[in-house]
Amino acid sequence: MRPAITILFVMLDRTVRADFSGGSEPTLINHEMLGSGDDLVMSVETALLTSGRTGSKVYIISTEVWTQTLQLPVRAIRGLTEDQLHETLAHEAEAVSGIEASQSALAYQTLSVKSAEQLFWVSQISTYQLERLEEAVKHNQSRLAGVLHPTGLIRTAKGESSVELWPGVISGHGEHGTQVMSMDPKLNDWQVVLQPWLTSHAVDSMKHLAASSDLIPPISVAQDWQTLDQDESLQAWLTTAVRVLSDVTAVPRIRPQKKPVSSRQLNVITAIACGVTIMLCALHFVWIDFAERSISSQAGDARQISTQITQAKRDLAQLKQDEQQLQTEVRELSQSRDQMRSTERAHRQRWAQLLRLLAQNSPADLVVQNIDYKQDQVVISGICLEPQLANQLAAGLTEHLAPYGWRVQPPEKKALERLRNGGPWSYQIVLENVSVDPGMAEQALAAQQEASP
Amino acid sequence: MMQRSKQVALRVTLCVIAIALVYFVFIGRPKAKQLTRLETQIERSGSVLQLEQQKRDVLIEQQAVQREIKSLEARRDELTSTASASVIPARHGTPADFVHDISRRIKDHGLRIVEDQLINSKHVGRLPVYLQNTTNKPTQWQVTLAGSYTNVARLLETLARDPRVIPAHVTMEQPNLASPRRVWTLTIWLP
Repeated sequence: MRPAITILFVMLDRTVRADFSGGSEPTLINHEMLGSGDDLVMSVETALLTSGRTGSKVYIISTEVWTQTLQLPVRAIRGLTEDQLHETLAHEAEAVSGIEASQSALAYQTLSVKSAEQLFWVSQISTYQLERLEEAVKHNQSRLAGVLHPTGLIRTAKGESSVELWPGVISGHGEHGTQVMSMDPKLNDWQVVLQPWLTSHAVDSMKHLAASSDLIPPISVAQDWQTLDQDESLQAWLTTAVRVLSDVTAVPRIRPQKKPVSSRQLNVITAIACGVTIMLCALHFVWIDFAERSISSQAGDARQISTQITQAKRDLAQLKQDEQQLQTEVRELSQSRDQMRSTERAHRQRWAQLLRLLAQNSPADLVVQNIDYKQDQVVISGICLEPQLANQLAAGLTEHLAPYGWRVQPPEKKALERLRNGGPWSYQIVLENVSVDPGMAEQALAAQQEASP
Repeated sequence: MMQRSKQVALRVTLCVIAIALVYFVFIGRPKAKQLTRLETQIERSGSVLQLEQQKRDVLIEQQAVQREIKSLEARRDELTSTASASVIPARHGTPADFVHDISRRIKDHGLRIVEDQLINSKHVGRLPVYLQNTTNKPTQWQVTLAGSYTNVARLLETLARDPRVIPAHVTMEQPNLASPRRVWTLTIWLP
């Protein structure tokens, strides 16, 4: 099973590899003795090649990484961007580390401000080394999570402080500050070097760590020094270190810089972006085209149905017109039939009615002598003793004969000059044939039917 | 480093914008416009379902009108056939039978037939409206009678109730005022 984290601890005389797979204790520790002349990169490559698969994240901890605390005037760094500050620190470190600023990879941690001076803890290696380390780790299908100096990886409780002696580095870490000096502990007294730092930290709550026992100055033997000579102490220190490393701000760790995009990469990125855009456009086109086809089909169907509706409405209008004509025709036929029937019934009855009316309405001094029928006209004639008697007869006939299709004309009278008063008078009443009013006819016929026995 | 990243981002963004712009101007927008136009068209004319419903309604109305037309045509045919049918019921006998029957009735009413004749359909003159559409041309029987006013009036009332005949016209002549005897001419339509 692949470990989660691998730490490669490279010292001047050996390389220690520790694999962590979730548990707090490292699962594997290898010791590789370096040949003379092996540098950091070769040590790492050898350690990676000669052991099994490394963790997905690899930390390289080495005393070859230059590290030191640097002070810069606050006013000098005020307003600087991250990149500018990075560059400034690289130039400041160059004077001490000897690594050319333009060809160095640097990490820093901002510490406290003292007397208008900003304190930085800086770690630095050459870019060349970093790139080769990254390649070596990458070749092992792992990711280089950081390159750092081993100092500061000891965990102290609240109020505690630590003094560490590493080949070429003397450091003090405590809650009142950190001081890291790039000096050989064998040639310099750490108490002198760390004098300013020691004034603010209590000696009785101080831990002492030395990479090897030979770094401990003879006058300090009385103090309790922890060394990494023994596997147990080294394992304990690595276990603590991996915990400290989980805090990204604990110590400055140098990370591989992201490489600038090459022209080819840029072209590839551009091509991919363009391709994705074209694909999105194509997808949009397919979608909108599908929607258009669908709606177009619907519109076509709607148009076809609309045409059918228009035709159906036209047919309906024609049918309604035909219906209206038929209704008119039927109404006229019906009226005509009613008219005909009424006329027929009136004509069937009217002669009997005429004789009845003549008998009823003829005054005593009037005689009906003739009833003639000429050219659709009935002419009633006779004589009377008084001329108004003919008028009386005509008036009596007028009202009752109208429903039977006869219009009574005013009587014509002529005095015969046989009596003293000029009488008698001959008269003539003409009944003109007219069309029968069905309503009047039906009423009269009904009345006649009721009257007749 | 940052500047290079910005350049990359700018270049990629510009390419993407250019492609998107070209697509939008020449393809996307015209397509979207066409889509909107079609959608508006659909909205205006109503959905296919609504149109189908409308069509169904029109067809149902059409069917109803067609039914009404059929009914009216049947009614018209009925009226036409009724109109063309004779108002005088179909013959149940020959004219001679009718003449015989009416002659008997004349006699029963105390009247005397002086003269009678059948008038050919060519000489009957203008037919009344109710006889114009009959299939068989009606004929007239003209009879000259002698008798009293009252008897003729009664005879006419009897004939008015007989559906087989229609009195066409009646004339009366009283040659002598001193005598109640009158001469009558009765013309009757025979079927």
